[in-house]
Order: sequence, then C-alpha cells, then structure tokens
Amino acid sequence: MKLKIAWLYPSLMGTYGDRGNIITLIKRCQWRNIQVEVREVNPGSPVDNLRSSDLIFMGGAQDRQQKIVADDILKNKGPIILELIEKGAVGLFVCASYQFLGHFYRAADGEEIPGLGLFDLHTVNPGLSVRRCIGNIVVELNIDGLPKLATNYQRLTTLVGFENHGGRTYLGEGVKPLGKVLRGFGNNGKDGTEGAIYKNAIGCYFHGPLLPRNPHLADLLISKALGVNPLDLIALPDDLEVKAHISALNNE
Amino acid sequence: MFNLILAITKTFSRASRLLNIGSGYTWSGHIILFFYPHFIEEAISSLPQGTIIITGTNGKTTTAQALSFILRERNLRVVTNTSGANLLNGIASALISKMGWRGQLHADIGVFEVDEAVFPEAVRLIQPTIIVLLNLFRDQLDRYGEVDTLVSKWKDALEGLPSSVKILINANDPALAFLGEHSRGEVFYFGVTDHELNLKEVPHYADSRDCLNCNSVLSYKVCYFSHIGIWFCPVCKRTTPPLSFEAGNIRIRKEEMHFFINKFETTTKLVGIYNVYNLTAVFGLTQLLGMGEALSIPLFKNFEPHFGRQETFLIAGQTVKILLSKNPTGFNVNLRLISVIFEPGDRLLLALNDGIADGRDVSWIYDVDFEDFLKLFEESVCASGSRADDLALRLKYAGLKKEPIVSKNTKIILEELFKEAGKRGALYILPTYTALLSIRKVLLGKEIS
Repeated sequence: MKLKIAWLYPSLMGTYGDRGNIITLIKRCQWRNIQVEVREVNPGSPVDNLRSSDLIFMGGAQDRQQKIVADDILKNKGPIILELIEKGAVGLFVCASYQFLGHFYRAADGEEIPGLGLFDLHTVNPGLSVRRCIGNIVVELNIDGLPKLATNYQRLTTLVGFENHGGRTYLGEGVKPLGKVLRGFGNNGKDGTEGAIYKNAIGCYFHGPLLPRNPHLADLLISKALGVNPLDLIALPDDLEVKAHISALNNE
Repeated sequence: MFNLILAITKTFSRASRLLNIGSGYTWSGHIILFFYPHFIEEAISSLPQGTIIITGTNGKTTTAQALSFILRERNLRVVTNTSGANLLNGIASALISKMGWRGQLHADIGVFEVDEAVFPEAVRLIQPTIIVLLNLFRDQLDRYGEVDTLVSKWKDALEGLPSSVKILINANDPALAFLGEHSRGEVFYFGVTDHELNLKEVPHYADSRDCLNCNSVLSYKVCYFSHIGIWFCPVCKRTTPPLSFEAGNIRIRKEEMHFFINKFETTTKLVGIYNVYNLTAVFGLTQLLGMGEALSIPLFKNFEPHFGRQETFLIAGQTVKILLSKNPTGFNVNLRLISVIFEPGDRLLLALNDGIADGRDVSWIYDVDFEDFLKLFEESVCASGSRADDLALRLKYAGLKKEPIVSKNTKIILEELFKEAGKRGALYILPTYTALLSIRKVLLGKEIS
C-alpha cells in the first residue's frame, strides 16, 4: 500500500503553515507503516506525477502568487485535477485554492477571475471597506462514516481551525457544505455554512495546518485515498491531537 | 491649556512607571494625541539633529536601542520609544517623558522604532531625516496582512518623500531593494558578504522569493536565512545593490560574536547573523550622522542586550537567556543559533501565546523547522503559553518521541525548571511577545528575591 500525494505549488500556495497538513499526512501514514510519497507540483513542472496521484493538496496564497498560479492551473494542471476528482481521487483545497475551484472569483475592483468550476459555487470580495473574516473557527462536520479514533477518546465530530479571508463564498443549490458553523464566519458569515464537498474533494476556509488538530479528517482523507474503509485504519495514540482539538473548542 | 494636559500626562506616566504598570506607558501619548493631534510633529520639529525612524519585521528594538546607546555615549541627548511601544501613542509618550513642564524638549535627536503597519503614517507625520528598512517577513497575518500588502504600502510612503531624506536599506532583502529602486531620497544599502554562512537552499519559510519587477523566481549566490542573501533575477537581471556598509567574516561564540564591518573588527554580546544586520544598520546610521568610523565601533561591545532580545538573567546559579521568537523567521534563526551554542545539560523552553499582540493565529509554528534540531533538544524541551497544546502537537509531528513537559502557565513551568537549576546547564527561552512579558515578570521577581 502506498499513498501518493500531489502537493500543488508548495512555495507559492503556502503562506502560513500549510505544510503542516502534508507533515500530518506523512506522519499518520508512517506510524501505520503505510508508504507515502509526496510530489511537489510547481508551475511548469511536468504533469505525469500529478496524473498518478491519489490525494491532491493545495493551500492558500497571496494575491500576487494567486495570479502566477492561475495562469499555470487554467492551462496545464486544471483539467487533470478535474479528471482525477471525477474518478474519485481525494482533494483538499484551502482558502485561495477553494475559491479557485468555484465558477469565479469577483475581486474587490469588480473584475471576475474564472475558476475551474469543480464546486458549484462562486466567491465575491466585497472590498476593503468590509472587514475580512478573521478568527478561530469551529464547525460541526457534515460527513458520515468519520474514522473512529482509539476508543479511549471522545468522538470528534467537529473541525477546529483559523480562518482569514476577504472573499465571501456562496454555494449553488444542492451543494453539500463541509459543515455547519458553530463559531466564526465560514463561507460568507451569513448562511452558517462552511466549505463544500464534491465526491472526495473538500474545499474550505480552514487555513494553514488544519489536519494536525483534526486527526479524524486526516484519517478520512488517507483512507479514501487508499480506497480502504475508514474504520479499518489502525487507531493511533492521539492524546495530543485530541487535547489540542478540545483546547481549541474551548478557546474563544 | 497645553501645559495643563502635558502636566497631567507627565504625572500619569511617572506614576505608572513608579507603580510598575507597564501598559500605562502609552496612555500618556494616547491622551495628548487626543487633545493635540499635531503633538508629535510640533514636538519633533524642535530636535536639532533630526529624527531617525527604524522599521522592519525583526530587529527594530535592538537596532533602536543600540543606536541610542552609542549616541548617548557620544553625549547626545536621545529621545527614543521603549521596546514594543512602537505605535504613534508610544512615540508621543516618549516625547512627553523628555519634555519639561513648559513643553521644552530636552533632546538633540529622536530615534524611534516604528511598527510596520504604522510606518507610512509615521513617515508622513514625523518627516524623518533618516529611515532604516531592516527586513520584511510574514508576521501576524491576521493583523498586518501579507508581506506583499506591506511592501506596496511602504512603496507609496517612500515615493512621497522629499529628496533630502536618507534611506538605509537592507540590500539582502530583495523586496526592500526593490523599494530602494522606487524611493525618492538618497538611498544607501547595508548587507552581509560571508560565503561560509551559505545555506544549501532557500528555506521553505522564505517570503519574498519572486522578483517584484518581473515575477520570476529569484536565484541566490548565497542565502543566509529566509529570503535574505545575495540574490539576483535570472530574467530581468536585477541584482543585490552595491553595499555602502558591508559586514563579513562572522564568528559566533557562546557569549559573544566577532565580525567585520567595512574593514573594522567588531565585538558584541549580541550573537546570531540577524544581529550582524542590526549592528551593521547601526554602524551605517552613525556614518550617515557624520560620526567617525573609529568612534562608533569600539562602543558596540559595551551594548547590553535589551528586553528579551538575548537578554540574560542569572537565577540560582543558572544562566537564563531569552530570545524573543514571534514569527517563523525569528523562531527558525533562533533555533539555529541555539543549536550552535547548546551544550549537554542545557534546556529549552518554548512559550507560545495567542494574544492580540502575538497574533491570534499560531499556524506559523508549522513553518518552524523543529525537525532539524530535535536530536539536540529531545530530552530537555518544554512547552508553555496559552497554546502550549499546539506546541506539544507540533513537536510530536516534528518527530519528538517523548512527550514534553507542558503547562499553559509559564510561572508554574518556570518554577518546575528552577527546581533543578543547580544540576543543569543554561536555560534558553523562546517566547512570543506577550509570553515574554509574563516570563520577564517572573524572572525579575526571582532575581531580586
């Protein structure tokens, strides 16, 4: 068994600790003796590695980097990403990447930047006069069949993290959100939804290292990418993970 | 009326200092700016030797304090803001404390460290004679926004300067060199040339990796840390600008550091390459102020590290050294520095808070390369601060086998560590800003008792 991870644009889309997600996936595989290989995919790099990957991760970015990436992704990597997700590959797309996988992103100046359209959603930046959505965020997950952590822990059904985004995302009708906002803003600060799910792809505003404090989500991604039942993964001693998760549930 | 408000604020600021209410310091500035919004401009206009503004993500306090020290040694009366009080109310408070009861300023020159986000407004108000740009790294994204955002705000501020202003810029930060190319005023560059300190590759936590002129990825002849180094653009051919103030031949020891600036050998109690930058900027400033080269260099070795920036305490026979580490670059360079001087028996305490002044978002700890130094600290590392649980988890994912000692309460963990003080070596503490404040309070109490 080997997990092949494509890490898209690590230096351009990795503003704040996004690599924590990759570190978590690697470690949780290694602790279970599952082989894991991370392929870094950059602008101009060949697409063969991407094509044969089981799990795609793409993080957040600043505006300027986003423009550099946009060019490469629309022309080269985008169609392959769509094809992979349609075939059941796992995807985790955070913040700028999440916005980029919708139909379009309307910038503060009104310019519409087309997206890949994987998720039926669009994002509008209301401009600098409207406050960014910044702060700790907690959502109740909208996913069945979450992997169980070792029996001595309380079952985690929440996701904890930090969000920092100017754009407001609106889901199309019938799109499944990742979860319900318990604290924070989520997609747009109004409708109580956060993120989106399509097949095995997740888009969300949990920026930076989302997976270390949410080991149940990390294991879900790993199991889906390997094509095994999440309940069949070996349980790990997750004391510190659960402690940090609960700490975040209680942190204002 | 002005004299009355001044008297009230002066009394207030003295009382808060006497009663040791640290946060009281900036209130006096706050009050006077409320009644007299032009207080800063008017007060500063009477300084015969002008005003120096120092900004950047890391090194502001050390640079401002070292320069102030040297100027005082040269018998100049300096008005400077205390560390961390680097918003406008902090500057106003500093001016109040140097003012007589009738409003006359007892100072010859102003040296102010200025917050990165406040810099454009401070430049407009203060009309400084010299500006120093130290570096720009990701820091508190939830407060400052992204590095690119700051660069563009600074660019606007520098384009509007009168041409008489002197600007001293770190040439090894490519984003700042770009600003130098677009500034009005007389630009001077400082930097480091030392091939021995070259990292094999540009680290993942570097921020300004692309040429701001043509968006191509920059190449490096030498990279010292983050995106700091001797860089060039392979496409549009921009390069590190020529240096007026050049440091090199750096030798780091446990208690001191030796290096050369423009052929002058320098010794200092501050260690680590980032302090080479700070002190080279200080040297550059003394030159721009017309001080002889031979006069300022010998003073460097007398400057004592300041307020958590390599500040050392002696407690129960144990050396305790605090190295403020508030962002990925600071944390990474400090870990690397400690790894050079760490000895068996030494211990390491990490303290991570998520207060407003720290940034509520602690995602950046995953940009710190604990992995590289784990072997050294494996047995001795402790985690503290309001986000101690997140630190402990970070260390686990870095590969720490043993669970570290964890306590959110810094006082409790310090008590625990001092129990063994006699039997152990030095204690190195890497705190974020508000963690530094609470740790210093505990240590100062210990030192006296």
